[in-house]
Amino acid sequence: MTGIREYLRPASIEDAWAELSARGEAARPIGGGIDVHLYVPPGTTVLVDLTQAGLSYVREEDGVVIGATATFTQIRESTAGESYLGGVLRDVLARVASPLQRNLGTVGGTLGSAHPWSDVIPLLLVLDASVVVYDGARRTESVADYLAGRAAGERPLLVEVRLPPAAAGSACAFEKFAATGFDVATLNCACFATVRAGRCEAARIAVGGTPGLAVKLADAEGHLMGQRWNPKTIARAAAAAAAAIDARDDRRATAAYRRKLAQVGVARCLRRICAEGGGTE
Amino acid sequence: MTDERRDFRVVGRSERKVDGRALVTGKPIFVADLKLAGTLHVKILGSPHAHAHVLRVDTSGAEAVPGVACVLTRDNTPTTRHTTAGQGFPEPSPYDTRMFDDKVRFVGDRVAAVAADTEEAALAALREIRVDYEPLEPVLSIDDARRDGAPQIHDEADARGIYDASRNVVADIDIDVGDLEEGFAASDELVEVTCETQYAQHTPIETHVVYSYLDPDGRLVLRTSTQVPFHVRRIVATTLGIPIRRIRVIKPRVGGGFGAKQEVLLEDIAALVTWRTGRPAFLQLSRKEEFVAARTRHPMHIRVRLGAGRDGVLRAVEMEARSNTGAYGAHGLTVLSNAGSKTLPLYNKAQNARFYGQAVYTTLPVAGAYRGYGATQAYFPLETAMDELAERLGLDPIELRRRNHIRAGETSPIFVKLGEGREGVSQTLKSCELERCLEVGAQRIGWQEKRGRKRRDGSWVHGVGMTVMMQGSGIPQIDMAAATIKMNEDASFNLLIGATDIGTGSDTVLAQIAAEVLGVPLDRILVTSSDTDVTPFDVGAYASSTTYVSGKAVERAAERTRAQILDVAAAALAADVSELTLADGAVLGPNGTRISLSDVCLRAMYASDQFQIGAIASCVPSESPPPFLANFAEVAVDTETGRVRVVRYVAAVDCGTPINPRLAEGQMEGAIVNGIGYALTEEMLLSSQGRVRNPSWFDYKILGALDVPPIEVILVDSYEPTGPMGAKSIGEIGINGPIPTIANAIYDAVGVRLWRSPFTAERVLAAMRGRP
Amino acid sequence: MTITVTINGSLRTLTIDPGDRLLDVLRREGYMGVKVGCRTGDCGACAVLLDGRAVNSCLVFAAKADRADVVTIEGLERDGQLHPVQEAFLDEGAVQCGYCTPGMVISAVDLLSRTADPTEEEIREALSGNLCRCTGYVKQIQAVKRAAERMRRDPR
Repeated sequence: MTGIREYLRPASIEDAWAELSARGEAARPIGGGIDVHLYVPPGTTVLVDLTQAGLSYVREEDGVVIGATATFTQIRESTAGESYLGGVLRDVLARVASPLQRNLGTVGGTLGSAHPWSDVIPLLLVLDASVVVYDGARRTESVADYLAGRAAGERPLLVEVRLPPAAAGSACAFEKFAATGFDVATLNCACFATVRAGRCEAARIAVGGTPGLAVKLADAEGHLMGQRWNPKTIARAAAAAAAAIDARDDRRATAAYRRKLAQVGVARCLRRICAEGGGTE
Repeated sequence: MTDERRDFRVVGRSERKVDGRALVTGKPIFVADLKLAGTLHVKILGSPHAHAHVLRVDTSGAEAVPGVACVLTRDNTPTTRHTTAGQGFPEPSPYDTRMFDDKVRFVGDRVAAVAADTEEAALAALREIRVDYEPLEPVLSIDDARRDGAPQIHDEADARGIYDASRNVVADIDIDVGDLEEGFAASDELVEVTCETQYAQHTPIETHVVYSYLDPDGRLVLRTSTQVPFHVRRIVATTLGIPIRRIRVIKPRVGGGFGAKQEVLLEDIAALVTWRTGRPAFLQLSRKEEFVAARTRHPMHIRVRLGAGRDGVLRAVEMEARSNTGAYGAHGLTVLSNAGSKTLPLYNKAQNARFYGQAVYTTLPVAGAYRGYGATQAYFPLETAMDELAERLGLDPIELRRRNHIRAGETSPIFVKLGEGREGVSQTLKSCELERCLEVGAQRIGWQEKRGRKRRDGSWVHGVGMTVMMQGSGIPQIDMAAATIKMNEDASFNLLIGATDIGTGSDTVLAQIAAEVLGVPLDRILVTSSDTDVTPFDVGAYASSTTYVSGKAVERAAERTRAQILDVAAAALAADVSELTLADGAVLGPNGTRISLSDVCLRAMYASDQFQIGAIASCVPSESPPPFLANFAEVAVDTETGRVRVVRYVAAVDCGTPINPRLAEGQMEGAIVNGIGYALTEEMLLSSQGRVRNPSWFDYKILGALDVPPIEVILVDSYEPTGPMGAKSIGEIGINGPIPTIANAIYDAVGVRLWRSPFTAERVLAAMRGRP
Repeated sequence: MTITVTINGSLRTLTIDPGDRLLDVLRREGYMGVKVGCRTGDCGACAVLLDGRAVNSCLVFAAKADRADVVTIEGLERDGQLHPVQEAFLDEGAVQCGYCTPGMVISAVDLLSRTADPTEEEIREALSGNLCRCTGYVKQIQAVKRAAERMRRDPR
């Protein structure tokens, strides 16, 4: 990395923003720094390490609040990681990368890189997570809006991720298909639903690694909303999800196989939610 | 078993590895851990084209980069054609390689090398090299290579040993026994199976690496991560025109080889840089280069036809193999040959057999030696065909093997017809416990209970499959190993062996043999290995030869040393040698007399009729007694996604006496896990331009700790009278099992046959749906 | 720039380039037990403990280690006594070529420093970022179990 000439470790988000603004395109913020090692944009000469800026917290506070530089391991080991929605954070993050990388990688870094195979992003989408960003002032936006903004070239600093409190009768499930245990997803599925009195009051479905970045599948969600939980509605939602994804061939799988995985994965997630949430099967 | 079995004191014990403590504490004992002042960092420029003439190489820009000491291209390096294959001289591989050639023949092929003060300077200089290529049509498959009008990949005038360069054929083999067509005509059932195996890479955790420097006498020292130090010395000497006496090759600890390092891949470049500049040179392949420009397994396309009578006895076996050897022919002939020589003798009841095939050039990554060496590829169609045949005959697959496999006291005509690239050597087996392997393996996996049950567990269906196999123990009448032993005053012994420990534990195993003969504990044997100045010759670590061949040399040297000890003790005790016993660090004589080993040495070194107690001995084996293996796998197939999970793997192996049982198990376990990766997840993918698309562990998936199923290795009781302490070998055979065993288990589970590895989830699902 | 980092208990002041990886700085300083396998975080051969957590040192900027505590394989031995994980690796035959061993041991030490009685699943997960081509992981998993047993019986 001989292009790097400065490595800064600002003590606050405001200081970090000041440094980044002063140096413009030549500066990049990092959390663990994993992706910068692997995919450094040319012309980067300054790294702004955010891990000393007081953002490495995980709090149970009106749901869950996760600081941008909390590592995956920290999140997994936190009380929120254990208890939020039946431990979904602890369980899903166990599938991400390797323990060595989980000790270093941050939720802010993963959102910043937005790898299409990301396991974290579909999970955050279905949990209806929002992010607090800073670009001179704090503001809150949805994860989807944040990702869209980054795709359009916006570069606010991520401060924290907020997960809303889990309503009663809610459950979340995740499926990841990969070749080996330490592998990125060939395809992943995240589903969330709130079921009361056997009916679905909220449903969120996201499929990622299609090989595109995860998006929520409104059409598939529509098959569940207001419906009774039973194998038929689950099957319809899964089929709709498979049809809706932007599936393409790549080295790992064909588009057709990905649709099959999407159908199987969403169905499995929904069945597990059903079992957890106490809906009729 | 036989009368020759003794109660071993050291052999047969799972002693700790002699180099274990140094490894587990991270001592600097690998090639890259050396640091010499003034070291030049060497980087290689690889071709972006799969096939091209090199018209012009302009290095002026590179030479101008500050810190650059040396730039090598085809314009300023020796033109000697050689093979990179680390094999005995004369090597059974074509001499088709030049250090830097007028042509490039695969993406990543060498074009130039730069040596500079720093890695950054070397990389900067590489970027300044200007090459004019004339791209040629790439040749991307065996069929492409054999097509009329296909480009001739090796058209150089000075290549030698290519079977038919004009047709891109490196090697052609055709041997037969009996009358094949008669055999088929006399058969009641015929089965024909064609299988295809993929490009795979060894991915040793340590890539290829070499450190060269001049010693104070101006001799070239190559400290290299190799399986073949003596072949390195000879081939570098020939290639560079430097006398052998001016070269010393030292192998320190090696971070895995598996065949990839049975090759002279980098040493010539580093050696030449040092020879010309006088400075040390360090050259290590990046992980990407290891995938692209090192060596791979030969992808093969093999057809097997079996004919058997209603009685289940094979009448005829036909194997036709086509092998893709990549851009250069190293190991092309011998791997092809092994596909037949390590498989067909297993079923010696077939009186009629034919093995034929070709190894063919393509403009793709270079295939070379890889554990199993052709047998791995060939057992796929052979054991699949046997499984199919069993079903047709209404026989249990185990029973079909029982009726056909070779036994002790038997031979096969294939042994003499097919060796490693030339005629082989006849042998009558003196040990074979395959019967017992089948019995114990079947019982451990629960064969009777599980076969045909197709137990369901949600979307998963379970099945079991089995296979049998053999390999070899060294190359008879060709491989040679030697060992020197010398005694020290504290009754310790230096054991100097050319044999090459690449992580296999051969230093330990060979020391155990010496300790056993000399009647001392293991820690009295001090091993120095693989230094061409100090240790006697050994072909190196390949062909599963080390325990059987090098072990025999060690046993002989130890026996000669022991005889000298007894002679000295006899003189000291005024007794006859026949009255003496050597045990527990002392020589016991008649009437309660005794002399410690230490005193024996002190007497011989200082006191009376002084001489150095010690001996050198060699071994050229006259046969190659095969280890035998029965594999049993339980798999579960996810009928929704096609994913295959190995639930349990049992391997019952006859390796003769396991000198160190834990190390023997470790060899099997490692080979099996590598084989499961080869069966389920590993595949090098190539673009339409011949470029490797997945040259990293990110995209080329090998098994990790989360993926490994419960594996049980059973070392079946056995004794090979021709082997040291009754040992045969175990290094390679384990890797041959998983592909066909898993394939047969998948068939048991979901009734689908797979003909192409790896069995990815997508392929299995497509097969279940009846699509190719 | 300079960083002040504790390596195996010794406080060191090192001059580094801002873009240096921790892996290269450690090897430059003579810690050759930290191995180069891939430089892309895929194999774990370079693993060290950073503030008590196992990380790929090839992915860590050395500057990040300023004021941090680093432990390499060389730091596990104490007064000539091997760490129980090292002893267990030797006893169980979990070391073949030894190239993945330092990283593997570091991951195991991290696990056992916070889980005294890990399940097999937890052991496999802890080692999942360390690739090995020689052993097939069988004896390495067994060695970690054995080390855990010994450490429970006989805390250091």
